[in-house]
Amino acid sequence: MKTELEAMKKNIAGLAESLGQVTIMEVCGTHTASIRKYAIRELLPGNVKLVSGPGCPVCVTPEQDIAAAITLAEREEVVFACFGDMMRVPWGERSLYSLYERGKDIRIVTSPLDALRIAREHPGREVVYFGIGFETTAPLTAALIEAADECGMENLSVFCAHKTIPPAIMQLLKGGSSIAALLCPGHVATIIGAQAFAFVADELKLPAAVAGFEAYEIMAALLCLLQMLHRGERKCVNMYPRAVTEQGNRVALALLDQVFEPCDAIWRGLGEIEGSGLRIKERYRKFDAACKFKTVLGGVVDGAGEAPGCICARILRGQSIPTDCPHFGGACQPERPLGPCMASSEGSCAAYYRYGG
Amino acid sequence: MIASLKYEFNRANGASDKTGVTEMCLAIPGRIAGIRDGYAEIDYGGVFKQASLRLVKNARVGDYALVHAGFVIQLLDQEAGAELEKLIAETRG
Ligand code: SF4
Repeated sequence: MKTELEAMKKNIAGLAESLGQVTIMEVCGTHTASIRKYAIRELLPGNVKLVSGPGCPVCVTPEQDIAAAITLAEREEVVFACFGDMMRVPWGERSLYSLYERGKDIRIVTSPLDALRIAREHPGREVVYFGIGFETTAPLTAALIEAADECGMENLSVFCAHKTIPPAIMQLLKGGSSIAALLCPGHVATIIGAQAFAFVADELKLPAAVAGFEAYEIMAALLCLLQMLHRGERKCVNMYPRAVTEQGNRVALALLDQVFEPCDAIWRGLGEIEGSGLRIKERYRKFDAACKFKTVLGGVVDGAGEAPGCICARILRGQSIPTDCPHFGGACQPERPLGPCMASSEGSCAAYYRYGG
Repeated sequence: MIASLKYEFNRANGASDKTGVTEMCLAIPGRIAGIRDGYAEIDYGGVFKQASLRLVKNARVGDYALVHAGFVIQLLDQEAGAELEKLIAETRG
């Protein structure tokens, strides 16, 4: 494997010689982390640069939704369930973690189905599950809602902030940018299929490669992208055939369609993007925390929460890297993050911090 | 530090995650060692955990599965290693 990596490194260097400055964007938190972990940047020639886009679901969750989550979690009757990465995302002085420290009932789950179990165990409480994530995670929330419906659960709802990746890529890159090629997220593609990224080649006219998460798989995808740039080709190639098919996971897609419908959604750093969110369909409305707690959430104001100087928004647009931030590693560290990109273990700032800036 | 914090959270929350994974986006491959009532027993090299089969069809014992947050999200294609080799060879052209 080592020699294969070396061979690919040589191939990439050879191809890069014929090219000018090349910036490749990746839009997946796990890619960000793998690229740091395997020190992929160090295997690339100087003129090939990797930047992260809006690929960390915790990071792109806008302040408004963090504020709403904190408002719900503060309520006496609520048991709030979420993934651990969400806990330290700050909203002003507060975070879910600070509520947890003050004794609020907040549970970290490792699967949405944990929320179902918690709701069963606490029939007198209102369990709210914070549904965040892209197409990889949204089907799991759909399965939770379906299961809750099947067993007639009354005390469980989902605060749904799920998002879909293709509209965000479209929005970010459509007006032209410095990005020359796109490393497509393997696990999102596992669900929606490689063909869902064909628009990158067809409409945005950029080479695209769906990539896995091993050093070898990422290097293979980068090699493929550089070869396309070298040859002047614009295709979308599936370089993660182990897990990704052209059409994706039909069972998961059908379940998504059964439970959710597209809606407009706000992304941190990118603003509102048409059709980029998932909302719970009418049929399952009683599991929608936004409806169940409508009166409570009506008064939640947004804004004023972002730390001065935090450049998460620029990082999520691929315009900056974490080390550009004056707070990086100093005032902002994983245990006391100033922004979501440090708070989430899959955020760019956390990945840079963990594996060395 | 983060790892120990997570451990502390998990303990406080009564969850025991032997794979040590709490990051939400991670998907991990494992072998299906058993199937019962819509759930698979997944073998991650000696550590066993359950995962729902709601999102896949025709899972069989012995299959390799990609697991994300308690669900099998795809059955892995064991022949695809060769396919990737072929793709890389084509790239080198
Ligand atoms: S280092 Fe901290 S303050 Fe700076 S961009 Fe990252 S999260 Fe924001």
